[in-house]
Amino acid sequence: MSFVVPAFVVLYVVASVVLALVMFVAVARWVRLARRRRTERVVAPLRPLLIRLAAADEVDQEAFGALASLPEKQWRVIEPRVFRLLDKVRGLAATAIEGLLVSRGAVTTSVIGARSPSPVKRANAIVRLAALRQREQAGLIEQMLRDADEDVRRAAAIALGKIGRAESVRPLLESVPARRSVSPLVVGDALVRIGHPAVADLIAALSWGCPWQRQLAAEALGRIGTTVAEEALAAAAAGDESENVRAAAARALRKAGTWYAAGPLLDIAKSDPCIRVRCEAILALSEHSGAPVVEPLEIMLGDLEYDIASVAALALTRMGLPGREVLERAAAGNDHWAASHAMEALMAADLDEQLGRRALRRAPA
Amino acid sequence: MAATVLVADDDPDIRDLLEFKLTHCGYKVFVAADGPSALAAALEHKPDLAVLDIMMPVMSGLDVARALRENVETSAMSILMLTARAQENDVARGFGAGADDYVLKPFSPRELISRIEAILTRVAR
Repeated sequence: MSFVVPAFVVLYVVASVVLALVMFVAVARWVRLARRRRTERVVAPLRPLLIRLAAADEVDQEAFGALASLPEKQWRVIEPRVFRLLDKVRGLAATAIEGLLVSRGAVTTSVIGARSPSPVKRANAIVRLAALRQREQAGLIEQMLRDADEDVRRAAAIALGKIGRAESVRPLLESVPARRSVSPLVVGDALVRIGHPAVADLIAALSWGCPWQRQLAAEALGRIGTTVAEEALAAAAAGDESENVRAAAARALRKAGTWYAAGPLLDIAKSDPCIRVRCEAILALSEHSGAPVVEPLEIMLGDLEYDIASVAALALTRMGLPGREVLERAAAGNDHWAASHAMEALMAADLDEQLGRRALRRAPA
Repeated sequence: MAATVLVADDDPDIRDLLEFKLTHCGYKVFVAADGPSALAAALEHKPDLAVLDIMMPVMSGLDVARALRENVETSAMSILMLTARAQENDVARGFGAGADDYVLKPFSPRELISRIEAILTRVAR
């Protein structure tokens, strides 16, 4: 026996569902709008006080006192705005806003939030602790690098970079190959943000057992650009067992090296078993070494390994007049292999110069 | 007579903060929330200096700066870029578009005022 549902019943059910959905969306929108209006009503009279506090050359006691003594209900509404403003300023303005937030117990609530079962609340708490530059809470944030939630771990790494403690270098590097890992890109940015205080620990990390950590340390040292690490980077570029680490160290020497690194870099450029490492060494040489390496680079123009000859030509274009003279000589010479690389590099450099100038004038935002 | 400054930023916090601070320091301030209004305000009031955010709706701060430099009436106006774009290329583009100075966000309001004062003093000489 089959049971047939009349068409008008189906239509009635569908229409009811659609109507219910429309009503749900409309009510949700109305609630959101009403909440926003209520928030604005609370925030509007307080905003000028907040602006005064951020703009003052010394702490505006009147504005500070008024905001610090707000009833809890009002404060909860304005607190996100205060954090948002803190994110936009530094110096005295940031100090005044931080003082206000600390006086309202933002550190305590953030520490409690960091232990919340909700990953969103944990991540928000970490972001707030970092905004308040709570160095005392860095230990807690370091523990969050092993959080079960990926976004919380990411927030913790970013926060540690913002807080800027040298002691965070080890936990940050250790979070990369961990079971609950953090993206190397995020960790790299955090290490660079810590900056010069991180240098000693990063140099020490160049001799750690894990090649990923050594590579990350070399890359961070290069991005920080400190010449203090030159010797350690040159040693890593010449002798590390991992070609990724050697390449990263050679690349780092572009920014973190001086002419002292020319000798080791030249040896690497000539004899490293990995072509990629040799190329990085050649490019690093072009940044720091000036005229003394022009001759070896001229010889490399004739290297039968295509990449080496091509990168040597590129390096020569970056060395200014002495490099250009070598390229022009090679372009007119009898060695067709070297001549073709030299001509290609010269043409590319001329084109780059023309396009670069035009791009600088017309670059979109 | 007080020097005039145009502040163009789509972020109301930054606009209000700078308006308050600059007014407090004795400047006459005009504000704009996007590129076209900034350009219109600059052409109408011809301020001594414009503080431009780079990432603004409709028309970027770089485009506003270029338009100001290309217009005979505003080509001599001092321009200070206030932006979160910190890359070397971004800074170069800012100066390429005609900026006299470049300040990165997050910024110190006190430092920004010092820079504005320095630019205006230099121009007055």
